[in-house]
Amino acid sequence: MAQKGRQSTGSQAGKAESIAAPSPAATPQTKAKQAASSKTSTPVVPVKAAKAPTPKPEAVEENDEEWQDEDSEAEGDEEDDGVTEEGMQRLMALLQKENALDDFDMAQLGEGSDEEDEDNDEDEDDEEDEDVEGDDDAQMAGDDDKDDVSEKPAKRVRISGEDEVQAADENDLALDDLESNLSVDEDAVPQRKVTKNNIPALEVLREGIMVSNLPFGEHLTLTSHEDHSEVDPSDDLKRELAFYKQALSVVDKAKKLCQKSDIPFTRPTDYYAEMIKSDAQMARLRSNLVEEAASIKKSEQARKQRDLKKYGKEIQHEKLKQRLQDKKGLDERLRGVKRKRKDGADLGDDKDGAEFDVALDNAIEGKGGKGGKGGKDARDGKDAPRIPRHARDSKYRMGGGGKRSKENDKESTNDFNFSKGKGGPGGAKGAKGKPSRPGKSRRANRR
Amino acid sequence: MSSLLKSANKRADAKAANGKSKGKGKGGLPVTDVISAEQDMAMELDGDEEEEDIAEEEEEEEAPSKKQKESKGKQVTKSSAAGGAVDRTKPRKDKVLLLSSRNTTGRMRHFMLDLQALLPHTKKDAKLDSRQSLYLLNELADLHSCNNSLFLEARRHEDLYMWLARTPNGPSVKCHVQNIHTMDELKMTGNCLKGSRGVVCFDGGWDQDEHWKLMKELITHIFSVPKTSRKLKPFIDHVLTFSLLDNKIWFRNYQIVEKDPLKPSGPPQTSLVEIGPRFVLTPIRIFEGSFGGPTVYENPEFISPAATRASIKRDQGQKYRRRQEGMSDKADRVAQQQEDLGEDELARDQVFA
Repeated sequence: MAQKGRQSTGSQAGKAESIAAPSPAATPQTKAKQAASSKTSTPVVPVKAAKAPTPKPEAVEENDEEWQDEDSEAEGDEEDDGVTEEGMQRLMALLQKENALDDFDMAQLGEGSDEEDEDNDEDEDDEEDEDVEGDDDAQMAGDDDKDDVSEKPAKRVRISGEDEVQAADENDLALDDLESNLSVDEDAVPQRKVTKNNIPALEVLREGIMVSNLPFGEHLTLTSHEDHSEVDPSDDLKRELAFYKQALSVVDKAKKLCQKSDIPFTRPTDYYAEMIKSDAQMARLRSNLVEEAASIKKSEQARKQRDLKKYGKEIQHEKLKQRLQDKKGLDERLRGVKRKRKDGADLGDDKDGAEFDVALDNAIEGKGGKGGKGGKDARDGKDAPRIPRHARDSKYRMGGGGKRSKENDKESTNDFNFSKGKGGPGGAKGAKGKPSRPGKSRRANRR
Repeated sequence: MSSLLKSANKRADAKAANGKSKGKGKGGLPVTDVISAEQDMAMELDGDEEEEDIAEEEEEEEAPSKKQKESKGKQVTKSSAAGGAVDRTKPRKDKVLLLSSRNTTGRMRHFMLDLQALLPHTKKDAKLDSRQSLYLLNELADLHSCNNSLFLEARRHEDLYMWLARTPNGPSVKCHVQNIHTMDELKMTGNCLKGSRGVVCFDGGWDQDEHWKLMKELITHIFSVPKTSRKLKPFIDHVLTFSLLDNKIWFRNYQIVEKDPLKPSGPPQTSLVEIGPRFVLTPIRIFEGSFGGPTVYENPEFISPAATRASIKRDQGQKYRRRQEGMSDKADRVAQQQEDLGEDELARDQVFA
């Protein structure tokens, strides 16, 4: 009897389940009741014996603690000893007539729950069954923090609509028929725990609030055929792209349908009205966009600068080296020209003064002394290097020696020949006058 | 027999209350059948005499067929179909009561305001004070003559739940809201008319399961602006997208841009710009009534955010506990060793005592 007590004090969920499901696995409570009723009808059989052959309760209560299962098994073993042959036979006979018993039980159950009239019709009983379950359900549903209520979906149809109850009845009847055959089966498959998903009730509820069967103009809903089943929800970019595509796929269709049902779609450009985001917000948006673009540009530039800096040192080094080499080459060439001068003609010749300049030019440019034409071309060419400072100084500067050289000294004070410039090399030149520099073309031809 | 009597009584009550059914969602009451619910709803929606006449006719028709249940079932479906047909001729009238519970954070409040701006057929009400008596919402909605309600329930200053409900008679859905981005965020660059109707777009997954189908209808009631709504502006310039991904509902709102901004004189090219807000809904349960009643669907995958946080904390605690255990073990070992060694014969106490 202890077992029965435990059952009755069991959770509400367990109770609802046991009442609702007259399935072959035979909920322990109904079995217990049957046992009780069998006791009343056949007082000879001890209660324990009557209980023995019923399927083990763990078939249903898979979630209960282990100890209980073991306990009940142990009980069963003990009980088996007490079974008399006669009692077993009677029990089997009773089990054969289970339907009648079932009805009786149901009626008993019904008394407690409602003002149900005592009708022996099976349908009525089952309906009552459903109602009992419903009450339990209603109490539970308000609070979602409660434990899960596991029930077979087919049993839960009670909710709304007579037609559903009808369906449930049919289902129950079928199961009842099965029950008489299967009740002997000890290894009945335990009921699987299913969370609630009452499909028929959902259907009825949906039909009650249906709007999508109205014409398009009423609800403006469209179903796209895009399916996101293979989109990875954690991949932001792909996910957003999928949503974007879904929305975009609908727009054209919506436009057509709107035109069909005379709903204006496109906003004309001269229609001004309050927008969902204020102007201030839009200005903020715009400035943010501009700022973002600017910052991107800035960062790009900074990166370029960094790269340049990385290679800049090498470039600088190369340049310096190059410059040094140039200078060395120039000095050598100049020296060469000077040597040639010393070897060749004497200094006094006035024509040679000009010629020396040209030769110097050529030497500076790295040309041979005689290749006049080439030298000129090279100078005119864009890639012609600038003449180095000291070469230009030597070519264009008046005199030499700096500040001091312009000061008067004893010699200059006594010199009254004003025609010649100061410090010029050709004191004798002055008498002849300024040596005439030939014209440009003539100079060119001469070279 | 009794259930039929009950339903008949219900109907009488409903009529006495001028088409306002009462207390159906209040949890503990016995459940009525679908017929009365539908009729109540029909009356609620239209409140016309015609409608009532039809309802009476249906009632009379039903009377003789009470004994044969199968035929009655058919009758019910037929009557509901007829109700739908009546609806067809009338414009849809949906109004949504929008309110939140207390203890909402700023973000949640902004989110609610966004929804209000987006849906011109909502009526915003003051915060609901009590968390237990959600059935009050039915009366509130009735006061504002709303037949839908969208209730945002905040908990612990961090979790937000959204109730979508058809008010007096249900059904209702409770969802967990995550990943809220409001319209104020600067990455949402789109804009649209305030109070324009938007196209509501669902993806293909919504037609696969029954609970999604039901939620689709509910969402349509609440998020699709009816033609008759006041404060409505013409033109359709945005799309509300509801996508199913990972058993969650992802909401996006895009502006429809029909011109290419770079080539204004070129051929019209449709593109979209996001307006906001964004959010993700995880359905928790679907109830038969509004804000209560029996559960018809329950999401098996849903784990409450509090449980998630608790498990994270537990994991962190585990680490600490393990370290502490290790330390205490060491102390025990040392003590044990000392005990094993026994008292030193040359200890100070021994020698000088």
